Amino acid sequence: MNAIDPAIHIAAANIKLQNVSKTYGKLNIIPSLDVEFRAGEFTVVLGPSGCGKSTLMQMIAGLERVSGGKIVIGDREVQDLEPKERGCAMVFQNYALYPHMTVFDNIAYSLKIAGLTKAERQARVEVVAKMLGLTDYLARKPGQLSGGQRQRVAIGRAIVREPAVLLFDEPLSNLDAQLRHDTRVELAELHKRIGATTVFVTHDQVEAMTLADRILILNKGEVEQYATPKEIYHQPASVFVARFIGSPPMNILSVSGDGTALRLADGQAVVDSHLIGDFHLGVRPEDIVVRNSGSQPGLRTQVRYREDLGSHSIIAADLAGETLRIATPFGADAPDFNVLSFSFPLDRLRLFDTKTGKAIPGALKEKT
Amino acid sequence: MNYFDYIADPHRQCAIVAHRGIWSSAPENSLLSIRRAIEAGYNVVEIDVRRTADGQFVLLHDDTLERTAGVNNQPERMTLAELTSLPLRDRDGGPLNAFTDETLPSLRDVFELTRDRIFIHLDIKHRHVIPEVLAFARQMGVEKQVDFWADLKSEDDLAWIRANITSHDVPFIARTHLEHEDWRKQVKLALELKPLICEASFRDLSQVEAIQDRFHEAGITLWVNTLDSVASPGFTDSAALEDPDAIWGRLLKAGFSAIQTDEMAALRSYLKTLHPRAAIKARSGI
Repeated sequence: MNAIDPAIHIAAANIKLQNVSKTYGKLNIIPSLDVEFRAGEFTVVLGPSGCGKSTLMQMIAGLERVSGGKIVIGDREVQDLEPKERGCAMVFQNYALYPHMTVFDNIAYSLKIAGLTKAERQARVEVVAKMLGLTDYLARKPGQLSGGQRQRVAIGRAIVREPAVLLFDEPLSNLDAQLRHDTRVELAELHKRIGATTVFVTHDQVEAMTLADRILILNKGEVEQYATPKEIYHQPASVFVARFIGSPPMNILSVSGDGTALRLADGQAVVDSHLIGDFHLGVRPEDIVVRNSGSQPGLRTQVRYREDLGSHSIIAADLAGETLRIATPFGADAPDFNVLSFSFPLDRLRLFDTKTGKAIPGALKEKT
Repeated sequence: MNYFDYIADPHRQCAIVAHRGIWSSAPENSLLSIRRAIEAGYNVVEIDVRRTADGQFVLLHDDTLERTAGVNNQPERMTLAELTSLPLRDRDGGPLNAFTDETLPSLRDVFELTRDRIFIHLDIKHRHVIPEVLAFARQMGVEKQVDFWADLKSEDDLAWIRANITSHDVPFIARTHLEHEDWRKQVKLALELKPLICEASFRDLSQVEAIQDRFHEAGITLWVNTLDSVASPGFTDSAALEDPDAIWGRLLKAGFSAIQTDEMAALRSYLKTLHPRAAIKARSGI
């Protein structure tokens, strides 16, 4: 890698976590994690507050020690190395730029510390500034920039060192909705251009779905699912994932199998099946097929209310004592909505074990 | 950002106070350690302040520069320019920690970095310097984002604090020693002054439980320090790492709602395990 080459060169490295744990005495934040973030991929770590996602990030960056296990970046074991020796750059929600320095100096600061000459620093900062649309702002101080521009400076500061790994810890949380959207698009483009292995922590499912090559969903420090956004959405590995993703999320209904069908608490048969016992049945609101005529066979429900959202409508209905949410095209012609008739397409249903909450793939494939 | 509003907010969780910044992989009292505390999202960062020979302010804990900068001299005898060019040793210094690219920071650079991002707990090493730092903070427009801190053991202390600190309408933390023989007098003085915050150390946690209602009624927030070297008996960071519930959990129940620690990440992880309302309820003594 030539430091004065006017392009940003990143040799993306994979990150392997092997039996990584984090405990504080009796407090077990991450029991034992085995996962690989692939070289050059954009991985989003998603989970609720307290799931261990930020702790995981801090351990990769070296700001927190692991309690056990190994972290391997590329071919180097890094868990005992100092943060600056790990080849990671991190961007935070609270990006603390140095306010008394210009944008140029903020971005160039780490290069100065790394001992690059003035000419080298100039060349690199110019490339990064161009990439991030900051060329006209290099002489300004952070106080003279908008929130989005400041966040771009923080990103510039991270990528100028050409890190093999880029870590983002909820970097968009402080931005307003429009800016979040714009910055999200910019981040996706940036990742395509520089190709660094990127790990992005968030609790925002929209960020996860739109940015990720692969999503790691954490719950209480354990992996609930690690898969592409499409798989996560359509084949959730657990009730937890099913309820965490989607707006509104997947409907989860309690059903019992009597050997001929899976039935709701009120006795209505949802789907033919040879299964026996209690299960959770998942169906996405948009997969439910509403029938215009009540004369056809199918499930029936009492409608509670309907929300028109412009692009689509959400109908909330009572179904055997549970709330069912159905997404239909906006303004779709539906009967008077007192009683609604609908069906669940078999290939869109997901069955879960009631005790473990884990999906039982293939259970609904064979009809009796 | 306003320290008064933050502390008074009935819905806030226990404040996490980062002692000398995050110095596990950066020099203590450095811009980098403070930047990391901001980035990690902690509420308050504690720094140590001293006055230079030319009347400016720098960050340094010890009486001399030996431990953190390898220079056998006192900061009060050197100029700002001399001091801010000194490189700092990593972490808590000493011969085993290498020198870094971080230099001793001026208080001006720290205020610039922290403004509107994090509150500052100012440990000003000499009390007579407090009025000067207060004036400087006001000049920089951050006087309501920092706290001033002093012992409150006598009527003289009370008069001095009133004249020099609280009359300027800036956040103040009274240092109250319940482990001292005259602890009743110190409690009486605190209730008379009604500071924003009272940092209490104790011989026995029941002493705090006994006063917490009166402090709560007086609108005084209780702050505790679990740093190993200065913690109240048994209530140390090390013990909290082993059993957070037995240390931080009991402190929360006794009415503390700000904890100064070197183990911020552990404290935050522990607070996340609590029901969001638990810490708040514990604080108000419900």
